[in-house]
Amino acid sequence: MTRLRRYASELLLVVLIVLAAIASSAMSPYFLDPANLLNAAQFFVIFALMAFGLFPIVVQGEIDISLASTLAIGSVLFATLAVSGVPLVAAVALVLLGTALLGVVNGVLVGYGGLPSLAVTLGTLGAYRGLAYLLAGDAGVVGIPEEYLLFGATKVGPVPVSLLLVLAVAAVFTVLMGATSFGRYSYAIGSSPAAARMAAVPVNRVRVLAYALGGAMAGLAGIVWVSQYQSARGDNADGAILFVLTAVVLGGISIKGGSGRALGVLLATILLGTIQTGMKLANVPGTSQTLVVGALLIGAVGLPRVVSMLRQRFGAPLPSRAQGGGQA
Amino acid sequence: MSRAARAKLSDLGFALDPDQLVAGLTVAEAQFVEIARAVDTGLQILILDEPTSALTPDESEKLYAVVKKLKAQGTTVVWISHRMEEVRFLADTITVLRDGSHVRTAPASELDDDTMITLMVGRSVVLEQVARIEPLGAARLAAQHLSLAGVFDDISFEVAEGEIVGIAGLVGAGRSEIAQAIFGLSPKMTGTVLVDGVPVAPRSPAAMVERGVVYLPENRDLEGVIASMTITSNIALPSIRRLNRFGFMQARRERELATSQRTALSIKGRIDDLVSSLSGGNRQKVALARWLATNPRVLLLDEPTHGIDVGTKAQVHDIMRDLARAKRMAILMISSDLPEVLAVCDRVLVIARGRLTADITAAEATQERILAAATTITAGRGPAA
Amino acid sequence: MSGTTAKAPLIHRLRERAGFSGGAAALRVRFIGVIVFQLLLVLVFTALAPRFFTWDNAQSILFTAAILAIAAAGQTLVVLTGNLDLSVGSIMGLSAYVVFNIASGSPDLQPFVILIAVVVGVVLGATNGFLVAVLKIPSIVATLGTLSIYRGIVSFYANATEVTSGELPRWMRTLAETSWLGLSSYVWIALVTIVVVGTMLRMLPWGRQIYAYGSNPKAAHFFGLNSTRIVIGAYVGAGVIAALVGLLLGARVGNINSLLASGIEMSVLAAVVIGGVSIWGGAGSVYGAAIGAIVLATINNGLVILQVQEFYRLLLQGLAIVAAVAVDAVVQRRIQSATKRRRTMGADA
Repeated sequence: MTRLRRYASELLLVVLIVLAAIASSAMSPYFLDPANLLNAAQFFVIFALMAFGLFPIVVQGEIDISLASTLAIGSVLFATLAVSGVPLVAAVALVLLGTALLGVVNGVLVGYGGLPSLAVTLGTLGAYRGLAYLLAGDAGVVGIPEEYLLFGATKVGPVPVSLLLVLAVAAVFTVLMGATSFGRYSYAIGSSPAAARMAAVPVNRVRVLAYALGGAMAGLAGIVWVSQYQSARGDNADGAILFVLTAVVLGGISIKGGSGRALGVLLATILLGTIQTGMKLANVPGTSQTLVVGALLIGAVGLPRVVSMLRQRFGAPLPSRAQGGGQA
Repeated sequence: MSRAARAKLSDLGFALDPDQLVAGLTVAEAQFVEIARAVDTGLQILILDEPTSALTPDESEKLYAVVKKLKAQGTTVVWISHRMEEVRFLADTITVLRDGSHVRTAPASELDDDTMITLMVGRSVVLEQVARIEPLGAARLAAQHLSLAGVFDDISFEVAEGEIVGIAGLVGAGRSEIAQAIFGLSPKMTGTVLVDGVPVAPRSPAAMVERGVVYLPENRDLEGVIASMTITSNIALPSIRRLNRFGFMQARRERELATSQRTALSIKGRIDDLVSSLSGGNRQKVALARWLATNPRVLLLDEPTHGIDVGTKAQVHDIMRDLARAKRMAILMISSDLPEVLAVCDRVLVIARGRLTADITAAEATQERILAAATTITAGRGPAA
Repeated sequence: MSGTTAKAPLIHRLRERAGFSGGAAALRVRFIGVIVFQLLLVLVFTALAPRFFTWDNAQSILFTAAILAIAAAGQTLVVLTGNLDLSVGSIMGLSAYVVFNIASGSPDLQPFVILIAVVVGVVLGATNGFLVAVLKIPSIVATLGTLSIYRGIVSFYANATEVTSGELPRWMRTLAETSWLGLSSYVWIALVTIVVVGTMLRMLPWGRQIYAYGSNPKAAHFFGLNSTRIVIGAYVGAGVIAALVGLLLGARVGNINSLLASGIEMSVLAAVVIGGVSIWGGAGSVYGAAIGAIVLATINNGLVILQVQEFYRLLLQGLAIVAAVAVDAVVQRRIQSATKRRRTMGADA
C-alpha cells in the first residue's frame, strides 16, 4: 500500500490521461484510430526528449530555457553534416557532442560561475538561436539523404522507431536518476545546495553534467526533427520551452528541486500530447492550444500551493513519511 | 529627508553621511543605522539581540551611551547578551534564561556575577569530566599560520590523536570560518594544514574527506542534514561512491550502513523516516552518522550540542569521548557552551576577532579565563567597568 | 581606523584610499559602465561606417529605443523586486486589441481609450502579481503561463480579424506621426515616462520599499514591509505601462492583429539587464534600463548599416545578457564580501 502512495502523482497522471483520451475521442471520432494515434504521438517525441533533458536540471533546482535553441543548432548541424556526406554514426556523435558542449557552457556559468540559471539560459536562448540562424542561413538546409532520416518513417513492426527511442530514453533516465550517484547527488543538490556542499558532494561538477546532458538531449531531439521534417531551419522549435517545462512540472518534478521521477515526465508528456492532439482534431486554433498549456503550467504549480495553503489554514498536519513525488 | 536623517544620526552620536550606501559601511556603522532607524520619538520598547558581539570596545561604548540616553527618555530597552561586564554596566533588572526556560528575574543589585553564572549554567550533573586514562598519540591535525584576509589571522595549533580540543570564543569571532576553511570551503586561505604529518591542500570538502577530515556544520537544519530526505539517504550520502558497484547504487548496502549507524548512535527513528520528522538531537546524530560512516580521522564539530536537550547532549558527549579515546580520532569542537567545553575537552583554544588568544589545557582553564581571552583583543581594553 | 568622529569628507577619502567603499562604489561603477559601453558602441560603429553618426540616424535609433525604453521601465519595477515578467508582450497585444476594438466599435468611448488601457493593464498585472506573491509560483513559471494565456485570449477575442488604423481615434493616429523639435513624439513620451517612474521610485515610499524588499526580502520582513503588496504593486505598474505601450505600438503599426508585440519579452529583459538592473533585485534604475534600450537599438541600427546579417543581432543580444549578468554577479559578490569582512576582524582589518 505504501508503494502505491509513493507513486500517487504518477497514478493521478494515468487517470488524467484516460480522462483526456475519453474527452478527445468524444470531440472527434478520428482520435482513437491507431494509425492516427501513432502519427500524433510521433509529433511529441521531440518534446519528450527535451523534457527528459530538462528533468535532471530542474531536479537540481535550476532551469534551462535555452534547450529549444540548442535543438535548432543540433538540427541544422545534423542536416549540414548529412548533406556533406559525413557517415551517419559520426554525424550523430558530432551533433551530440556539440550540443552537449553548448550545455556545458550553461553549466559552467551556473555551477562554477554561480550565476542565476534563469538569466544565463535567457542569454544563451538568444545567443544559440542567433547561432542557429547563422548556421542555417536564410533558406535552411534541405535535401537530406534518405539514410539519415531513420527516426522519421522507419518502423519496427507497427511502432515507429522514434517512439521506441523515447521509451529507451525514459528507461535510461529512470535508472540514471534512481540508481546512480549522479541521480542521488542531483536530488541532494535540489533539496539543499548548502547541505549538499557540506556533505562533500561535488556540486559544481554535477551541475555541469546535468546541463551537458540537457544539451545532448536537445541535440538528439534535433536529429529526430530532421528525420521527421526532412529539413532544418534556424527557427526550429522556437517557443517549445513552454510545452517542455509544463511537461516536467506536470510530471511531478517540483520547480524548487529535490523531487520527481522520470516516469512522471513520460506520463505528463503523454497527457499533454493527448490533450493537444484532441484539441487539434477539434480544430481549436493554435494560440488557444497554447493558452491551455499555459493554464496547465500555472495549475500544475499553483494548485499544490493552494492545497497546502488551505491545509495549513484548516490545521491538517503535513506528512512525515516519504510519499509520492519523492525520489524512487 | 537627508537633513532629517543627518540630524537623527548626530543626535545619537553617530557621524555618518546619510547619502552613503549601506553596502559600503562597516558592520558597526550598519548597526548604528539600524538603531537610528528604530529610534523614534515615542519609541516604547527597543530589543537588542547580542548587539555588541561584532563591535570594538569603542563602538560598544557609543552603543551604551545611546542606551543610557534612551533610558533617560523613558524607552524600555531589552538587551540580550552573555557578556557579564556589559550586563552589569547597563542593566537595572536582569532576567536569566537557560535551555529555553525562564530561571530568574531580579534587580541587578541582587545578582552578583557568581550567582548569574550559576543560574546560567545550572547544576547539570551530566556535564562532568571523565578522567582520561588513554595516552595521547602524535599530532593528527596540525594547522600552521592559517590566514584568511579579513576573517582570521595567523592561526596555529595542533590536535593529537585521541584528543578533544575545544574552540571557545564569542559569536562572530571567526571559529566556524576557521573550521570551514580547514574543511576546504575557503580555497583562498593561506597557511599549511597537515594531517598525520602530511601537508594537505584544503581545496574542496571532497578532497578533505578523502584525507579523513570531516566537518559538522553549526546550522544543522540548513547545512548539516537534508531534512526532506530519508535517514538512509542522508547517512549514505558521502559514501555513495564507495557503496556503488559498477556505478549503480546498492540499496541493500545503504540500508545496512544506515542500520548499523543507527544502532551505534542510538538514533530514534526508522531508517526510512524523513529527517524532518526527527528531533534536533536525533538529527544531529544523523549528521554525525553520515561522517562516521566514512571512517574519518579528524572530526571538526561546530556547536554540536546547540539546541539539544540535556539528555541527548550527554549522549553526544559520551559518543565523542568514545570516538576520541577508543577509536583514536582527533576531535576539534567549537562551542559557545563553556561548561560543556570544560567538561569534555582536553584542551581549549580561544579565538577573539579572528586571532588565537589562548591555548590552555583543561586543568588550567576556567570560565573566567576563557571569557577574558574571548572578549579582549589587547590587554586592558573592555567596556567601562 | 574607525574614525567615526572625524569630518565626513575625510572619512570618504580615507575610505576610498583604503578600498573600503567596495560595495557602494561597485554599484555606481556599474551604472557608469553602461554609459561608457554605449559611447564605445557609437565610436566603434562610427569608425566602421561614418554615416552612422548623423542626426537622422540618431533619430531613428532613439525612436526604436523609445518604445523599448518605456517597456523596460515597467519591467524594471518587477525585476527590482527580484522577479520577472515574461508576459509583457502579451499584455501589450491584448491591451492594444481590446482598446482599439472597443474604440472602433463605439465611437463615444474614444476619449476613454487611455483609461481602458490602464484598466486592462491593472487586471493583467494584478493577476501576475497574485500568482507570484500570493500563490508563490516562481515568476518564470507564472509569467510564462500568463504569456500564453493572455496571447490566447487575444486570438480568442480577435478570432483572426484585424483592426486597422483607420478605425483608431484620430488623435492617436496623428500622435504616432508627429515630431516635436525634430524628435518623434514617442521619444518625448518615453522621456517623460522614464523621468516620472524614476522619480516615483526614488521619492515615493512605495518606490523605496521596492528597493528595500528587492535587496533583502528577509530583512524587509523584519522591517515590517508588506511583501505581497509590494510585489503585486510592481506587477500592476508593469502591467499598466505595458498596456500603454501596446496602445502606442498599435497606433504606430497601424494594423493590429493577434501577433502584435509577440516575442518582445527578450528585448525588454535584455534592455533591463544590460542597463544594470540586477537580476537579483534591489539594484539598478529605470535610467539604466533606458540606456540599456538605447544600447540595444544602437546595436541593431549599427548592424543594419554595416549590412551584417539580422541573425547576429540575436546572438549579440544573448551574449550581452550573459555578460551583463556576469558583471552584476561580480558587483553582488563585492557587496557581500565587503560586509562580511568587517564582521569578524572589526575595523582593524
